[in-house]
Amino acid sequence: MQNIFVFISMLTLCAGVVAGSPSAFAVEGLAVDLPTEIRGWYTNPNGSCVQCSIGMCGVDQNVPAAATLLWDTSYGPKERGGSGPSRVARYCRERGIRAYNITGSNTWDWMSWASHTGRGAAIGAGRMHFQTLVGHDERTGKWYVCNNNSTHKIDEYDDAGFRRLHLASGQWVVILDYPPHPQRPRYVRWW
Amino acid sequence: MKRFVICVLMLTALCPLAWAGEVNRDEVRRLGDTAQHIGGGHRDDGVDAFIEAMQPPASDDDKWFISVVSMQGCKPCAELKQAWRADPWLLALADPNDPKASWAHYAEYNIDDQSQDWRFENLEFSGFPTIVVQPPRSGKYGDAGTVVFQNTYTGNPRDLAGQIVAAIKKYVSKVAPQVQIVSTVPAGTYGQDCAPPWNPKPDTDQDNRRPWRPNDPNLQFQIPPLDPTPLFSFPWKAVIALVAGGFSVPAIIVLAVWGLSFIRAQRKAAGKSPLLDDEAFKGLVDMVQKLGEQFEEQKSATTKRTSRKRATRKKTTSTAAGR
Repeated sequence: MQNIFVFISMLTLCAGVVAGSPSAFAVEGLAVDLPTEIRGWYTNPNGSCVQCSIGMCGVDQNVPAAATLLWDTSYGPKERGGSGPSRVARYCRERGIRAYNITGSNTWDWMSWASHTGRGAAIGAGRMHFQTLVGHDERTGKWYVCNNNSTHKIDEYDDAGFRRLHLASGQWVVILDYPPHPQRPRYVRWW
Repeated sequence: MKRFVICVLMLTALCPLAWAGEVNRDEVRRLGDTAQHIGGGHRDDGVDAFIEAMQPPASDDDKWFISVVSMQGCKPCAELKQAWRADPWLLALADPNDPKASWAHYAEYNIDDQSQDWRFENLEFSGFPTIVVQPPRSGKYGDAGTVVFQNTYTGNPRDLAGQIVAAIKKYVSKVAPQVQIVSTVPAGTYGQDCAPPWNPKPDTDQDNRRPWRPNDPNLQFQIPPLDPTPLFSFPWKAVIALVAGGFSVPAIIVLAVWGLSFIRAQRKAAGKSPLLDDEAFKGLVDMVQKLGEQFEEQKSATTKRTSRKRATRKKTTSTAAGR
């Protein structure tokens, strides 16, 4: 009897984990198109999820001062550990990073704007956690997010799932005020 | 004890996102509706400014992309970047000092920067700096990945701006504006504790000691390629001279030079590297032309000598007759 109870418990555990996880797969053509290897540089080591998320946007938009937030470089000393909007504002000022630091009910518009214009966004996603919004498909309503705890994959959310994810952390997003990257150039014989 | 463990497992199952993060949620709540623009210049505290600040900026997905790909320690690269901040012809295309007002998105990449070099893996470079122009992300002018213009910098900003404008003009004439594409979607670990996992590009261009080096001096990579028109227009005069006066070495030389330049232009247009680089080709043309000139000189010298002999003979004949 006890064995059956243990078995059911394990089954519940697995079901819970599967139901709570977003579907994960490789997506091409997103606003943030970093190779997996480079996303891996921003794996969260010690509760620096905000800097990991901003750093990923920084490397995507070719902003070295933001891309190197986690490390000691000529752009400034490493920024590790937990963050709030005021800390982000402080280190952005110190490093000369131009950024939008948005809190409150309007974050949805800003996230849509960022994805539409080809920019990533560091967003509140999950309970007291920050992740990188890497794209939004306006036709299907799907949102694509890279979690700095699992940088090898891109997670897909529908509108409702994404809403829950963002609200769980509190409405706060950081978007770098720099041009988006061009699409990967290639030769097409047009002339 | 077993039941306790089971309860903990079940609780974990129901809270898959329960890992603690490091976001200061209280501060987010305290701030409420706030859009702070860091490093964006001064804003007054009026209501209009606040409302405006709360909204995202206008979409800029219709802007073209201009990328300057440079390398570390390259003097012409530093010169181009400097020119792009001051020259009115280049500023008219992209303004690095004012990205919002800029006509195109402008970005400077360093080919030695491991965090960015993968972006250009599809391109070939004949030297640095290389300027790459691409259509807007919106898809209004076709595939945003298309290279509309690629060339190196020769040191003349106005000339470069002219080349870019000409390429865009030519491209737009071939690719008519299209219905806007609404969306863009479908189609690791740390190193040392304090050092980034790649060598970030330096924040200055101070080191100009390394000389500019083309990858392959014979490779002249340019998009769009030069028109397949020869460097010299067709030598009709030489043809007429041949037809009217028969065999003539200068006319043959002029035709040979034209032929060589025509073949060269055709190869370039086909994206093939020419057999000789520009300097060697110029040397060859000069040599052939000199040969032609020497032949011409020899011919005229012979003609002069003959006419002088004739004149002397005439003079001798007339003196004899006078006697």
